[in-house]
Amino acid sequence: MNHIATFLSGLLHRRANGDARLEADLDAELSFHIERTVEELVDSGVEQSKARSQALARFGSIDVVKHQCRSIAMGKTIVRRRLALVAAALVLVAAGFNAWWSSNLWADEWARISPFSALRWADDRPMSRPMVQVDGRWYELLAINGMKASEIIAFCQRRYGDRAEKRFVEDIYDVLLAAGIADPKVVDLRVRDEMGQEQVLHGIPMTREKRQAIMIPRLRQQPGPWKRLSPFPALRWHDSEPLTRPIIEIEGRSYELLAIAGHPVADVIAYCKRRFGEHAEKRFVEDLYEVLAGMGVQDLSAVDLQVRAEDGAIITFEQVPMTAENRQALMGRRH
Amino acid sequence: MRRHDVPPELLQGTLDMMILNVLAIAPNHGYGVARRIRQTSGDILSVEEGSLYPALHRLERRGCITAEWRISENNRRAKYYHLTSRGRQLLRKERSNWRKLSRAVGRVMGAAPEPETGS
Repeated sequence: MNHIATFLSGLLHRRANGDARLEADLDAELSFHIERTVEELVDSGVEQSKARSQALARFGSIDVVKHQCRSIAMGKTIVRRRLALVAAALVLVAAGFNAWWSSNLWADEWARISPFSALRWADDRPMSRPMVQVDGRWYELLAINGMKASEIIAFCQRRYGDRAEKRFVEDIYDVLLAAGIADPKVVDLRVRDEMGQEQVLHGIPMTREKRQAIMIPRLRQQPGPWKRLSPFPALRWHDSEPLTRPIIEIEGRSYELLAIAGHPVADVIAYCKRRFGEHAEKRFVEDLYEVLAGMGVQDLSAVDLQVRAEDGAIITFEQVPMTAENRQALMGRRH
Repeated sequence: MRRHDVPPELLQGTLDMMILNVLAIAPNHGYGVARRIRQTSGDILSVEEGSLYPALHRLERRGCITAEWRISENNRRAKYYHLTSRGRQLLRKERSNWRKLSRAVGRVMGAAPEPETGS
């Protein structure tokens, strides 16, 4: 529903922006006409002082023209707004349909299949080199049905953007179909084994069981609904250098954060960089709950914070509760 | 500059066709369209130039032309209009209608003797 609220508020925002842009465009378009006519008249020998009044006379009433153009544009806008409302209604229907569809086990059985029972990324770097498990053995995946893994990854990045990794791991059947591999229910996998030997694993069936095996550890990593909680109400970076030394506030005093829930800050930052790329700083500061859950921290209702005080003393605050109030305060200071 | 009064109802019916005809030659801005119509008509069709803009915007809304902002020949930002395939279709139809109409009017007018002038 948040998407729909965002969509509708976007409509209102666009309306205000659209009206202002229409006015600006009209002004620019009509001014250009008047100025060019003045130049033409001056070139033909009319005095500069008279040229403008003649140009305006030739043009007719600017207010009337603008009013007529506005009316035409508003007619178009009204149609667009009606279409937007229809689109909003369709989004609602689609959301309901999607929920229904997902709840029917039979519905998309064909799509939720995989040829691997586990998948991880080399060096824990998403969308780098996929390491897959087939029949209990780990391999580096090189190609599927002749299509290089790097090409499939590039295809996912082009087509799915931020969701590329998710689609590659969770929806490989759909991805292969979209990439032009015809009905890939049984595939040939070119792989490199632990000894560095390349080989082709022929006729590997895609099954629902294998995909479920892939999904279980991924679902465990996910915190479920995104919890917007924080153990501190403020965070800034030492010397304003993002992703270096976080300075947090606890009970009104500033400390340098050294570790969270037993994880050194440097590790948490490194995880964010690997997993979220250019959004690492934002995720570290704004979505610490999700970050820690992704790192495998089980109980996130409260966390231990190891900090360095201004006098250099190392202090551990035990079981600091993660609260929505803290996060709201933190976000308020960021914006 | 000579300026001739032309019945507005006649222009209203043919303005869209003339605009499309000018844009069929090359993309142009409103000023360019007005100037082209004036020049090619030998200054007979010197319409109130502002009236072109509602017509241009209406044609744009109907999908007969599209617009984009570009830098003009005198280095200023100007809104250029392009004919679309839909506009081209409409122009073909309008031209055909216009030819039929002008032939028919020509035949009617040619059937009667010229009115005598003088006393």
